[in-house]
Amino acid sequence: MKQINSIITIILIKLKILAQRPIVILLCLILPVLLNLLAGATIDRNNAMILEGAYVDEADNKTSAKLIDLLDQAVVDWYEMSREEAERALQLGQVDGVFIIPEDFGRIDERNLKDIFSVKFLIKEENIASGLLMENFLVSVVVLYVEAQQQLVLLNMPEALNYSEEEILSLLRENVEAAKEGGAGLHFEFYGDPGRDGEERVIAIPDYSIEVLFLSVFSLIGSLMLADVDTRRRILSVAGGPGKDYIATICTLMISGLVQLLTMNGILRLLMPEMFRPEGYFLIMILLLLMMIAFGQCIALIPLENRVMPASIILFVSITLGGSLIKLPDFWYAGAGQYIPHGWVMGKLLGLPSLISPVAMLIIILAILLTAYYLQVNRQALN
Amino acid sequence: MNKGRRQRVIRSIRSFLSYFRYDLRRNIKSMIAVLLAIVILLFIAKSSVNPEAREEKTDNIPLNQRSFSLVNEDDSEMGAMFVTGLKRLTFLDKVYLDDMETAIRRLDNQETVLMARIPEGLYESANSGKSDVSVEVWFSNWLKMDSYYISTLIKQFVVSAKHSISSVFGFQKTYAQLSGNENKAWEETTKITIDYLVTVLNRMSFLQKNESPPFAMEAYILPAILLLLSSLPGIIVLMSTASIRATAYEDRLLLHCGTVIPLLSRLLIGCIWWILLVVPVLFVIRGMQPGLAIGKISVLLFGSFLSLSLFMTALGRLDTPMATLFQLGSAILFALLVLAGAIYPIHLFPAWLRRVASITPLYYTMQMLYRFIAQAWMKVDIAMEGVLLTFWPIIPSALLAWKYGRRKV
Repeated sequence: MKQINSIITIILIKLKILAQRPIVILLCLILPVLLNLLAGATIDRNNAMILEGAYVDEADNKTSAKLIDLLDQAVVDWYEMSREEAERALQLGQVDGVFIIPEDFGRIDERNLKDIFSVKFLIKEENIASGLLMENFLVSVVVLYVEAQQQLVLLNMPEALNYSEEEILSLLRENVEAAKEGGAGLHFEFYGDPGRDGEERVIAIPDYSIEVLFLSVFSLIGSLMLADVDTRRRILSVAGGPGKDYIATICTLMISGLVQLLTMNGILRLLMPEMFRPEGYFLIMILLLLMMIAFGQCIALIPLENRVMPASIILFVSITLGGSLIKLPDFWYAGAGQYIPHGWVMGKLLGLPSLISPVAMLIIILAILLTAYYLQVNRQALN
Repeated sequence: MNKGRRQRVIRSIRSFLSYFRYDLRRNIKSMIAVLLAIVILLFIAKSSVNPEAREEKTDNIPLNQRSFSLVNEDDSEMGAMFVTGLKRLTFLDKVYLDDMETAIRRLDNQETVLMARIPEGLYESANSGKSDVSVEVWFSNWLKMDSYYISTLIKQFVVSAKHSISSVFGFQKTYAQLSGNENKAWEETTKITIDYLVTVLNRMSFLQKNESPPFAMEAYILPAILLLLSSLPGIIVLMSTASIRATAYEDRLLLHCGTVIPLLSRLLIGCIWWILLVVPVLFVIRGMQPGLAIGKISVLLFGSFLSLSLFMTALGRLDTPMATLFQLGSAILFALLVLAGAIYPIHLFPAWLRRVASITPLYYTMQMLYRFIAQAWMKVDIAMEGVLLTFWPIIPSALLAWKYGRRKV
C-alpha cells in the first residue's frame, strides 16, 4: 500500500511537470482539431441514393440560366458554387461532380456550334454517381445546342431578311410555347419509382494521420520533459527509486496521452457530430501511445544533452515513412510500411491487413519496455 | 587587381576551404548513413510500386452493369432509337427485346433493373404534336439503388425531351410561316430531329479538355515528398548555425574567416545534404516516368531549399536554447508545408485559407511541382504560368540571412 501511495505521489509530481508547459498541451489539442476542420475531414455519404452535383456558372447569361432551369426540373440536386468552393466540395466528397460552364457558353460566334456549348467536368473518381451526373448534365446541354441550331437555320433563311432577328426569335418562342400547351412532348409513366430514400446520411471521416502525428509528438515531448534531472535525482534517492520512477513515468505518460486522445476526440465529436471512427480505433491509438512510451524510455538511455536530436530524427523518420505526415499509397501501408511503427498504426486504422497482429505488437512493446527498464536500472551515470 | 587584394582573396579562399573541409568531416558519416538509407528505401519503394495497377484502375469500368427489358409494341424506329441510346450508357449492360410477360418475369427475378413499354401508336402520336400516349417504365422493387440511378437519368431525359419535342414543333411551324412551304418545313424539321438524336448519342463531345490539373492522389504524393526532402537540409543548416552561436569557436571563426565564410560553408554543406536527399529520388522517378522534366523540377526544389536555408541561418542566430530552436524550426517548416499543400491538397482549404497560403514561400513551388508531375503522369497539357513566382522567397530570405544570419562583432 505504501509503495502504491509512493508511486501515485511520483505520478502526481510528474503530471505537474507536464502541466508546467500548457502551450504544448494546447497546441497538440488545437492543431489536429483545426486541421481536421479546415482540410482533413472528408465526407462519405453512406446513402448512395442521393446524387449531388455542383456547377460553376462563369457565363452567367441567358443560355446558362436556361441550362440551369432544365437541370432544376429533374431529380439531381445541383448547387451553384465558385470554382474554388466547387473544387473543395469535390475533394471533400460533398458533391459527386462539378461542371464548369465557361464564360463564352452559348455565345454565337464564328466557333463551331459544338464548341460554343461545350463544358468542363471535374470528378474526384470515376464511379456510377459521377457518370450519371455527367449524363444528366449533358442531356440538358444537347437541348440548348439543338435550339441554337434551329435559331441559326431560321436566321439564315432567305425569307429571314424581311424580319429582324428579334422578330424571328420571338415568333419561334411563341410557336414553341403553343406546341407545349398543345401537348407536344414525350410522356412517361413510372411504376415502382424508387424516389429518394429518406434523409441523407452523411458521415465525416477525420484525418487519422494528423491525430497519430500529434499524439506521437505529444508523447515524445512528454518523455523529454519528464527527464528533468533534479526531479529524477530526488526520486532515485528513495528506496526502490528506479523501479518506482520507471512505473510512474509510464503511468504519467499513459494518463496524459489518454487525456489528450479523449479530449481531442471529444472536441472533434462536438464539432463534427457525424464523425465516424473505424472499429478498433481506440485500441490502436492506445497501442500507439504505448509504442511512443517505449520509444521514450529507449531514448532516455541517451545522455540528456544529446537526446533531443536523435529522438526527433527517429520520430520524424517513422512518421514520414509511416505515412502520418504525408499520406502514402495503400500499397505502402500494406507492404513495407507495416514494419514501421507509424505505418503499422496507419495501416490498421485504414483497415488494411498486416502480418503483425495487435496482440503481437503489444508483446513487442512490453518486451521493449522491460528491456529499457533493465538497461536504465543498471546504468551507473545519472542522466 | 593589386597584390594586396589578390592575397586577401587567396587567404579568404583558403579559409573557406579549410573551414568547409572541417564542416564536411563532421557531417560525412551522417551523410553516408543517410545516403545508404535512402538507397535502401528507394529500392524497397520501387519494388513495391506496380505501375500496371494504375493502368488497370483507369481501364476498369468500376460499375455494376445492369440490364433492362424493352417491350416495343409500337413497331417503329422509336424503340430502336431507345436501345441505341441506352446502350451507350456504361452502366447498362444488356437490352432485352421482350414481350410483356417475359419482361415482368425478368424484373421479378432481378435480372433487369427496369422494363420499358412503348405502347402502340406512340410514334404517330408524338409526330402529331399531341402526345396522348405514354411510355411506361417499371422499376425493380429489389434493386432500389440501381433503379434510383437509372430513374434520375430517365427523368432528366424526359425533361429534355419535352423541351426538345416542343421546340421541334415550334421550329416547324415557324419555318412554315416564314417560308410558306409546309413540305420544306417538315424536311428541315426532320433534319433537325435526326441531328438531335445523333447529338444525344454523341453527347460526350460536349466535354472540354480540362485545363487545370485533374486531381490525382498519386501525382500529389510525389511533389509532397520531394518538397519535404528538399526542405530538410534547412533544419540541418539551422542546427549547424545554432550549435556554434555565441561560442568561443565562433569568435575564432570571426577573427580568421570573417562573417561570410562560415555562412557560405554552412549553405554549401546544406547543398550537399540536398543533393543526397533529393537527387537519388529524382533519378528513380525519372526511371519510372521518362517524360518528367527532371531538370526543371530540380531547379524548383533547389530554389525552395535555398530560400528556406537562408531563412534558417537567420533563425539559428536567435538567443534561444538549441532544443527550443530545433522545435521552433520544425514547427515553422511544418506550418509552411501545410500551407504549401504538401500535407493536405490545396483544394481542400477554404477560400480564405487558400489566399493566405498563396503568400507563403513554398506554395508556388508545390503547385508547380504538382503540375509538372501531373502533366507527365496523366499526359495532359497543363498551364505552366507561375514558375517564376516560385523564386520570390529567395530575395527576402537572402536579406534576412545577410542582416541576421552572420555573426557580427
